[in-house]
Amino acid sequence: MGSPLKKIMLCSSEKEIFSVEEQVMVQHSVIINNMIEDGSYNYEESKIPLDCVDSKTLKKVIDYCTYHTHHHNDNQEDLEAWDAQFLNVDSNGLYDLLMAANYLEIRNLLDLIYRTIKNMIKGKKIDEIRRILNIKDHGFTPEEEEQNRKEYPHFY
Amino acid sequence: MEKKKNIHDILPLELIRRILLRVPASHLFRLKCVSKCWYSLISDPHFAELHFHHSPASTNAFFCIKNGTVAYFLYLDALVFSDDNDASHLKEVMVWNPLTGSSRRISYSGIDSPIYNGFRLPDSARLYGFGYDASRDDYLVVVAWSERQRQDHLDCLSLRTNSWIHLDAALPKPLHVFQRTSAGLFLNGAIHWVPLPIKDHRDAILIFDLKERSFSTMSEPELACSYDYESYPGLALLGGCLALYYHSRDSCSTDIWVMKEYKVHSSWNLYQIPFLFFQPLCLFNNGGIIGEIILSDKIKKIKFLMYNVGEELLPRVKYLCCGLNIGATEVMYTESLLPLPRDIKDKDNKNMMKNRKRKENEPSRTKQSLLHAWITTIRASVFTISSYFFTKKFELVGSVDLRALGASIEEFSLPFPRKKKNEHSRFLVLGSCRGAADAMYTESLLPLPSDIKDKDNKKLKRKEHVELFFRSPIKFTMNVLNNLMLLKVSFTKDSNKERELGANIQVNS
Repeated sequence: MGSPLKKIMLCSSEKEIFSVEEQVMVQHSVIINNMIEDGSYNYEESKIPLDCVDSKTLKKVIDYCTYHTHHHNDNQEDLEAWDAQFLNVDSNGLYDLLMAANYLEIRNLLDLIYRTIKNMIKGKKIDEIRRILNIKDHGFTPEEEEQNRKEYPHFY
Repeated sequence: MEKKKNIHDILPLELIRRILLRVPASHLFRLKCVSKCWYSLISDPHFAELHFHHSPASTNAFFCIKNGTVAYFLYLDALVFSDDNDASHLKEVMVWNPLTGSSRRISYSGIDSPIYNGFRLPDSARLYGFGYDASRDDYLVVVAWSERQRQDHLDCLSLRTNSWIHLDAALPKPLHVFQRTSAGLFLNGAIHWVPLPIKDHRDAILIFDLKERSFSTMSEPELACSYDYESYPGLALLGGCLALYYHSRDSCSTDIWVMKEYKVHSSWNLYQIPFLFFQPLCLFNNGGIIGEIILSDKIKKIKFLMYNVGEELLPRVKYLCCGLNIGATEVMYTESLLPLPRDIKDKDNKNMMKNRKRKENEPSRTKQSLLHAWITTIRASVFTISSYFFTKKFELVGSVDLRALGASIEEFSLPFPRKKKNEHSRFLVLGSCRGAADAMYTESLLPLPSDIKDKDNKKLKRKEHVELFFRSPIKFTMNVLNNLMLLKVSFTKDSNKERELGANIQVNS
């Protein structure tokens, strides 16, 4: 584990550099933790390139990790309220966050987003789910689709 | 504003799969229709296996069949009803996945005793159960029966091979010492029974291991040996743990012993519910126990009582009325997506089996109808059997003189006849009927091996045959109802007592 004062550099897909407390990222991201531990990160020169994470998303991810590092002793309810507010983004933003969390292996954030998307679709009708997830091409042939609708009218 | 993107354009399938793994099975089935790609994700048997073992979102549902034709689920977590499910095909011995609607009929020719005529036959079946053998990936139906109280037999149906085999496993006790037929509880790869009477607390629980195919015994909690003969112990699965409950007349409570760690005797934990006839159904994470009780004020309804058992016992009861006919076939179940073993034999030997099946069906008609109302369930599917023998005996129950029961009705309990010789034995029948009709069930999307020969055979089935199957479960449920109706009648005659009961409910709720 690195010292709490050390900073590391993260580079977004737009080549924007973010400087973050090492501790914050090491605690949350499995990938960055591994990088620091195996000594492949050079504090003087290295910037960790995150080519598939844009600046807006990376900033959100850093916000999440920072908040959870400094507030991990808060009570559960407060943390949940903060998380809910944090994820109050449009679906594109949510997918981008999920991809970033998956890439950086931030388990808590992954779980949180999985749960959020699950709740978006749970118990909803098919047409509504397609609208929420913007699925225009469902891939069923017109015959299959018609048969599904006939067989399970209450799903739609 | 940026254009809203399609989830498939951004997220790789693996991430979508991980989201779907978190969705409860009952919703997943519907999600199959969202897109072709989701359809193949959800239909994958590996996904089903993973979902069953890792999904934190298993849902406990109370499963009931009304009028023999419509099935409902009551999701106990939220107390909402499912849509209607067509159950009209459940007229024979079936393995059925209510969620996906697929079903498979099984033949039951394992028990064959020429000595007895038809309706006496199941009298000899003392233990039965339904379980899953993970080592062979096979579902098994186990029936132990005795031939004229002399020779004991153990038969087992494998769903994988679709055939009955006779097992040599030695029973720890001769079957005829058990007073009533006992439905097994499946847990940890083994079927568990508490056959009555319990003579020695050290071997109160009888276990049949499906992998080893052998019997063993387990003791009840040491303190439990103080329960009297009429405490009618039963088994339940609470929070994945084995639970043994007793109806304790002394403290007028239901004592539930939960074995927190399987086969670790120091882990027995006691919960006391201040109701004499409480039947525990499931345990929630917050420590609440939900159970079923039948009150005599509105006899056509099942009441669910929620008990909050946390650090201390909270004397709060929630009356949840679901408005279903009691006596409707009921089981408890929990969701999963697991597949049943494919029955290759079925397809290959289609024609041969078809002929054999037809032959089996005709002479064994009585036997099949005998097997109608036993219900037991495990992870994937509901297994229904029941018994004409029960219906026969229910008629006896109906004749119990209820005037003798006064005191216990005030305690909202099912009545106990005073211990006259005949009446006592009749109550036992009532007990066995309730035990047989209730079970826990795990909801799933598991496909059943498509039973092609069944479809082919349908045309050959005679109408008369179908009606026979149809009548027996109805009769079974009606008789339970009648029996409870009788309770009501004798009860409402005494208007003072009715008022008294009403007041008591107020106090408790």
